[in-house]
Amino acid sequence: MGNQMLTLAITSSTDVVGVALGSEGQVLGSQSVTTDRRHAEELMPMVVEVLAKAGAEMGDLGLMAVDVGPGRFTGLRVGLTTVRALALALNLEVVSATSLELLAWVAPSGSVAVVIDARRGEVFQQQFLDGAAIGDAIVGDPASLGAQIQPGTVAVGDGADRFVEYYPNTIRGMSPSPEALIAIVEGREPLPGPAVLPLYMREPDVQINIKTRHNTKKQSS
Amino acid sequence: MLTLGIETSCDETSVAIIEGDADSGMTVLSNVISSQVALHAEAGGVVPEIASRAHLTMMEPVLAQALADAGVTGKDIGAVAATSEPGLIGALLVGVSAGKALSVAWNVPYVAVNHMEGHLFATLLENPGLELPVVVLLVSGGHTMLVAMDQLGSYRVVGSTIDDAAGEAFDKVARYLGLGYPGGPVIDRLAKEGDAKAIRFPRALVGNGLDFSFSGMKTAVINYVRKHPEAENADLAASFQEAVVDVLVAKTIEAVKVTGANAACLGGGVAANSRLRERMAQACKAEGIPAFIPGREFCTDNAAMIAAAGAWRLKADGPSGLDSGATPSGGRSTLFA
Ligand SMILES: [Zn+2]
Repeated sequence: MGNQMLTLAITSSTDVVGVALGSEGQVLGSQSVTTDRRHAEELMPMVVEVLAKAGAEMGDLGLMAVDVGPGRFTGLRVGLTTVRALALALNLEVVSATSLELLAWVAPSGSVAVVIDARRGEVFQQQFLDGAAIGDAIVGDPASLGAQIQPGTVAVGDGADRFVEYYPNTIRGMSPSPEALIAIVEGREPLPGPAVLPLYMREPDVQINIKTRHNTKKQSS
Repeated sequence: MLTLGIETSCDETSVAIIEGDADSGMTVLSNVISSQVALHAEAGGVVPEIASRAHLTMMEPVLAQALADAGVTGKDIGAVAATSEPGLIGALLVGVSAGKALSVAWNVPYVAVNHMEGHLFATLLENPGLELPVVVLLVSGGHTMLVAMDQLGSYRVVGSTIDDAAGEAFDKVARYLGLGYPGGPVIDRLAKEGDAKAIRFPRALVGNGLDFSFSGMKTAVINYVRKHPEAENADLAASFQEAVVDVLVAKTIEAVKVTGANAACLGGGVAANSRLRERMAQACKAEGIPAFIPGREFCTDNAAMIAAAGAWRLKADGPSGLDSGATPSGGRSTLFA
C-alpha cells in the first residue's frame, strides 16, 4: 500500500457500527451496519473486509481513530477496546472525536442541535453553529432540552429521531459516521491508546448483582 | 506455542501468557490480575456497569504488563483466547473485543473460551500429568458444583447447589454480621481468631447425595445471632465456615467414590479459602484420594486458566469466528453433558 499513512476509523457508540480506512483526510473505503446489540460481533469482520477491499494490511496502518461517545455504553466500549488493543499490538497512536462532533460534521451549516438517545427517556445534547460547538454537551430529558433550542435550529441524531415531538425540525436518520471521523480527526493530536477516554456523561447505575459470577442455578442444558 | 488469555467475565481484569497445552504440558509465563474488589465494596456486590468501565480502563495496562512479565512481544504469540461466557455481558465484551483485535493485528487464531472450562483447566496448569477422570469442586460467589471431568472436553455436573452458592452464603453472612465485602476473605481471616466448635450449625446434607444447600446455614446464623446477640463474630465466622467446609469436603469425597475418579481437585474463588484447602487436603489424605489444589492465583478468576482451556480448544475445535460475541450468565451453554 506504499508509504501513505493509513488511518483506521471506528464508530460504534450508537446503533450504527462503522469502519473506514482513510489517508490524509480522504476516505479509501468504508462500511457501516445498523445493529441493536451486536456491535462486538459486527465490528471485527468489517475491519478485516474494509482493509482487504482497499488492498491494505494491518501493517500498513499508521494511525487509529475512534468515536468516544456519548451514546451506548457497551457499544462505545467495544469500539474503544478494539482501537486500544489494535493500537497496542501495532504500536500506533489514537485520535478521537465525540459522537456529537461527528453528527455536527455531517449536518448542514447554520444552527444545529445534536441529540443522541441516552436511554431511560433521556438524551445527550449539544448545540453547534456552522460546525463549531456552542456550549457544553448536556444530558437530560428531551422535553426540557428540546425547549432550550432556538427556533430555526435543525436537530440531528437518534435522540431527535426518537423524541421528534420535542424536536420538530429534525433531519432524520443521521448517525456518527466513520467517514466523518476520518475527515474530522485530520490534524488532531494523536495520543497513546489509554489516554483516549470514553465519554459516558452519566454515572453508572448502581444495581447490585452478586449472582453474576457464574450461573448460579443448576445448568440443565 | 504461546497462547495469550484474557479474562473479564466478572470483577477481575486478567491477561496471561502460557506456553504449551494440556497435552504437552504448560508453563505460565505471566498471569496479571487486576482486581476490582475495592470498586464494588461500597455496593456490597458486583455492579455490572462499574465492572465494565473498569475492564476498559485496565485492559491496556494489564495487557502490556502481561507481555512485559513474560518477556515476549506480539510476534511471539501464537493464539489469543478470551472468556466469552458465562458472565456479565458488558464485561465479557471488553475482553472479547480486545481478544479479537489482537488476533487480527498479530494474524493468529482467536478462541472463545467458557469460563467454567477455564476453572476446570486451572488444576492442569500445575499438574500436567494429572490422569483423568477427576472430580472438581467448583465453588465461588456465583455457583457451587461438583464436576466429573471424564476427559478433556467431556464434563458432567454430578452435584450442584439448589439455592445459594457457597460464596454467596459467605457474602450474606458477612453482610449480616457487618464484616464487609467480599465475605469469603473476611470470614476466612476472622475465623482464625474464633472457635470453630463454639456453635454447631446444621450441615445441610440434602436429599440427592451430591447436591448442596447453603441458604439454611445462612438462616441458622441469623437465628442464632437473634437469640444470642452476645455471640462473638469470630466464633460465628469460624463455626459457620466450618459447617460450609464440612459439607463441601464430605460431598467432594463422596463424588470421587461414586464416580470412581482418580483424584479430587478444587477451583473457583472460594477454593482460595484457607480452611477449605486445609480440610480438603486432610480428608483426601485420610481416604487415600490424591488431592490437587491449585495455587490461589489459579483458583480465583485468572487468565492463565483461560489461556490453558483456549490452547486445548484450539487444537480440538479450531478457531472461533471474528463474528463471535459473548453469552451472559443464564444463557445457553453446551459445556456440560
Ligand atoms: Zn470464576
